[in-house]
Amino acid sequence: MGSGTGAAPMSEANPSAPASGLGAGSVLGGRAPAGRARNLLQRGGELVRPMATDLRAVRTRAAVVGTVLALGLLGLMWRAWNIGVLRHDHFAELGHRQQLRSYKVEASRGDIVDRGYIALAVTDRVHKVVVNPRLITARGTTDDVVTALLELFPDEDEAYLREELARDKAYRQLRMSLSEEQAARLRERGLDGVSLEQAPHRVYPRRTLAAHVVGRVAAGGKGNLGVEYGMEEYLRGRDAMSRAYFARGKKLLVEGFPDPDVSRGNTVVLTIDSAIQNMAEEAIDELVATWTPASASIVVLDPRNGEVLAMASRPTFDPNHPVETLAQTVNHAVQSDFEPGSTMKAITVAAALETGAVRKEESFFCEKGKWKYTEDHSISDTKPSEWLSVSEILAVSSNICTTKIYERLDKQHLHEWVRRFHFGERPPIEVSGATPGVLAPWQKWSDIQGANVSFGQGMTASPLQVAAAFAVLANEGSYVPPTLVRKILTPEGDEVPITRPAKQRVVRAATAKTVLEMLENVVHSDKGTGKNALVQGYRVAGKTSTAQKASKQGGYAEDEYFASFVGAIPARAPQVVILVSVDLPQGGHYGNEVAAPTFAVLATRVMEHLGVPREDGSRPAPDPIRVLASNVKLAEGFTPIADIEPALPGERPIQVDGGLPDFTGLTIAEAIDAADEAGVVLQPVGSGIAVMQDVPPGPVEPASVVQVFFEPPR
Amino acid sequence: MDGLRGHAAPDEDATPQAPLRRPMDPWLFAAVFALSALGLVTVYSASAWLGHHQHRDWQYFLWRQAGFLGLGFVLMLVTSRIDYRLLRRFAPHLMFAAMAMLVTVLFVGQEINGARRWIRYGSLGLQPSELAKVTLAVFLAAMLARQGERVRSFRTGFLPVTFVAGVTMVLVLLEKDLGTTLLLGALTLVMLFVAGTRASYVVAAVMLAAPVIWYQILGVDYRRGRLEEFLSGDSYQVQQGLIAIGSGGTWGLGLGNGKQKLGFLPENHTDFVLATVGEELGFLGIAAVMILIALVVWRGIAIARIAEDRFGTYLAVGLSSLFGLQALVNMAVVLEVIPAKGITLPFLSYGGSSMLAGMVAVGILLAISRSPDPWRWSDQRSRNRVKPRRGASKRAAEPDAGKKNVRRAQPIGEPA
Repeated sequence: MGSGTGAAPMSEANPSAPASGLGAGSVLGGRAPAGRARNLLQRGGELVRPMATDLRAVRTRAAVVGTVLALGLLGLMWRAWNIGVLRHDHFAELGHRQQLRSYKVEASRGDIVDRGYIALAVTDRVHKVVVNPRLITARGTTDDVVTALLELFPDEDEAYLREELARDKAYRQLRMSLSEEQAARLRERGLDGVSLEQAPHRVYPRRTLAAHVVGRVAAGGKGNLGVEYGMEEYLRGRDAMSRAYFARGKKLLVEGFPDPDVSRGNTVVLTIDSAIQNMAEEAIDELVATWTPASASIVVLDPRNGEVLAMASRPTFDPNHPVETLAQTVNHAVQSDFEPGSTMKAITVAAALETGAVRKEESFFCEKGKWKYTEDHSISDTKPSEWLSVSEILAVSSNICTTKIYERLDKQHLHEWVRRFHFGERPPIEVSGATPGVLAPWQKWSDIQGANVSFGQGMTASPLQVAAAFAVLANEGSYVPPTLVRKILTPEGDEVPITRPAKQRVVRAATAKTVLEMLENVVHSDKGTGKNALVQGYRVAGKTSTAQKASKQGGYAEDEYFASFVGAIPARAPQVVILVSVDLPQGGHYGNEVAAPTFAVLATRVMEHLGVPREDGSRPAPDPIRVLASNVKLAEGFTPIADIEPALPGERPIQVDGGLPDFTGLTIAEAIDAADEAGVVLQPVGSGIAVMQDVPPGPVEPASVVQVFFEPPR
Repeated sequence: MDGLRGHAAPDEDATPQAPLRRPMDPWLFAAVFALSALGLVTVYSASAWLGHHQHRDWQYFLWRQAGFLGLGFVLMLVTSRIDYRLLRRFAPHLMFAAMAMLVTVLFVGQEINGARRWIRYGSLGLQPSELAKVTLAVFLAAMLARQGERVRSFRTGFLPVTFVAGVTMVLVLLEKDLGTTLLLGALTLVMLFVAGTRASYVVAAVMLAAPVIWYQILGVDYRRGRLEEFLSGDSYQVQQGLIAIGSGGTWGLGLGNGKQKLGFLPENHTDFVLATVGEELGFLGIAAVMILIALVVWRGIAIARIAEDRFGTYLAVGLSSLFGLQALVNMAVVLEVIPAKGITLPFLSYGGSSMLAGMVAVGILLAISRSPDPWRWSDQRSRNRVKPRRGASKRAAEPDAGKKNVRRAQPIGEPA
């Protein structure tokens, strides 16, 4: 195309310029630096009109375009400054309003631990399966979902799953709890309409141990029994509000999330000693197996400070599972009241001695076992006697002579003294449903009722009340309200101050000592009614009781008894008061027969556990069960999580070098292997993961037998 | 003449692949590199949540964008090594291909939000309108260079140019892409202006187009809606963009700390990527982007001014103003200066077609910048004279050289 003018000696820039020489000059001008190009306009004295396509014009126009664009950018930069910097606060506020929302952080319930910080009740978060039945039905994937869930939960009822999935609901939480592993597997499946949600879940890792004391929570997560109920305000914690970043309505980032402990409830440290509690549970189980009573209870109390070291009741329950009958959940040591029987004689005698109504050397005539006290009522003794000293009256438990002592006091004074021992009032114990017992005002007492009260009939009290009253005698005459709570710790480990009623002097220390000495005869004298309560190596001050049960028709039933034994040991400086009470024992009814042997067995073990010196000054060898407490005992700033979650199988190397391994956290199979390696004989109890062992890890004699307790991991 | 041009003689033998003497423009390369690096980081931050939400992959958009970026740089460097004058020769072919694609997309395109802009193949999509922008710049540059002084004529200068541009614009408009259509129109007018068309034609074109644009906006529901939203300040997306920029303040919340990406600001990794920059890097981030864009435009104009030939000049002006206009429109939308358009921010926004087209365009600019010959008016003719035997192919590359009917410069006193 360009060939047509190819030979023309003129440049393209000014093809029609009059002089070709000048045209060539302009070419040079065009290529020359801008400063020398001015001659384009004036060439040879002749003004030339610049062409539109002239280099300089094009350059200028390009620069104009660039300048306009740059000005535009400058304007936008001012705009960005205006928005980003000048109006920053306004837009940041708008942003926060939509990005940040407050939401409720559900409080996590505090733990309940024993005095050695062994966890008795903890809150765990478990995964729950949440399904959207509508979506699943719409997708027609019901069968897939059921198959997947049954794969994870082989024991689950297929009918239940299908029923839930058939509901016309968009949200159903299924009842199964998932472990982390199960949750991961379910998540992997990525089923539509199936999601996971975390839910708080109360766990009682020691199951039936101290079940009545610890109690349980209702479906809503509120305590409705035991300490769970009584300490609700401390355990509950407070729901907290937190701000979080949200992405399309879904909580995503948490900024300034309160420490999870902020909303956590306090930890309640019980006075319960799990080791003693375990002994009590075993003792009461044996008792129940032997006498098949309607109910039974054991209270182990430290008389010096009112701390309940153990409290067992039968029938019992596992708070991790629903109960079959409500009767299982009744804490008979606290909630049931019985006519205490002969135990009250000690109170009557103490009152009479304290007021000086009776001198301890005095003797009473016991009417040979039968005394017509009023027109309609006669009082009888099991063992007819003639003259008895006060001490002997207690030893043989004479109703008639106790009545005679009572007569020195009269109704009003006896009532006053019984009240002073805190009968007829609700003990300030921290569990639900404590009964005050029944103690009618003395004005309403008939003559026979006054006599009855003096030997423990015609009034009622809970076993705890009886133990607490007896503890007055064991505590140099001072009453300390029984308590189950040793202290309350905040999540940070600080102690929450709690006000406790002060201890009150009831009788002089000398009086208490005198009565206690007399009560030693119950166990240690030949005439004593409580010889079965003998504890090898220790002196016991105790009192049997065999109370007739009031029949529904009025009067007393012939063959229904409430048998009990309460004792303080060691008698001269009591460290514990143990009360064993049995309601409606079958095949026997005397306190000495039914309750005292259990006292003896339990007291022996407790003395060993506490390492109390014997009369001869020797100390008992520590009971191996102490491991139960020491093995799991943690420092003051304990972490409950570490306690409740035994290491899962395979997570912990088995340590066998030198003696007995620490079995906790092992499965039975692993434990057997470890035991074989260590050359000891394993005696497994329960199933699941090892949580305690009766011999501490460390040096051990070859071929010794080690009992290891297993619990299912939740 | 020969003596004067002697120093340039070796170039006469230069084939398009011959070694080039001037290095490519380092500032342009650096600016584009910085912009796309910033873009990659910002796109990752902006799209992580969306990627996870849509594709279960936090890095979904990051890796795709990185892939486009890598491919783009390869294309850019390859293009920068090719003599751009080849483009002039094949400009009509390229234009035809682009139009064919624009027509194709109307029939086989994938419909997104009521517009057919994408030709899909598997997970990859091609946006013909992105390619059409660069192609139109190439074709117009070639056409205007060939017209030379005829550009001042209405019938032989202005009309053919506007006809080709108009056809392209109508095709793009049929994709319901008014933003790109207007961009193409602006590009055409800028190139006409630089080439030296009469200002009255430009004004007339704008005035003629105005009612059409007016109708296009008011007659189409969603565009009318956008305009009304803009006028009332109710546009959700724009408001969310302002919140993002406003939250950023001077220094920004820090990379990755933006919250508007969490489902609040739609398209925060594509059209509204500037808002993400503003949120995470603050005003300084936005200023940096603007300065880098200005640098790209400035270097483009500078390259135009030193380009070897008129085609190079026009093409460099066209491409750099294309970047500038596109960035201006995009930023103006985000900063609530003009109503919403579907226009991406060059080099920053997520998107394969716009990234690749932009990189090719930068490659062309770099090729122009590194061209061996200073621009001269009679380039074609000199070549023809010195090497007549190679004239045939050179003439093909300079189709307008020696045309008789070119308007001549005249003494001012004489009437034309």
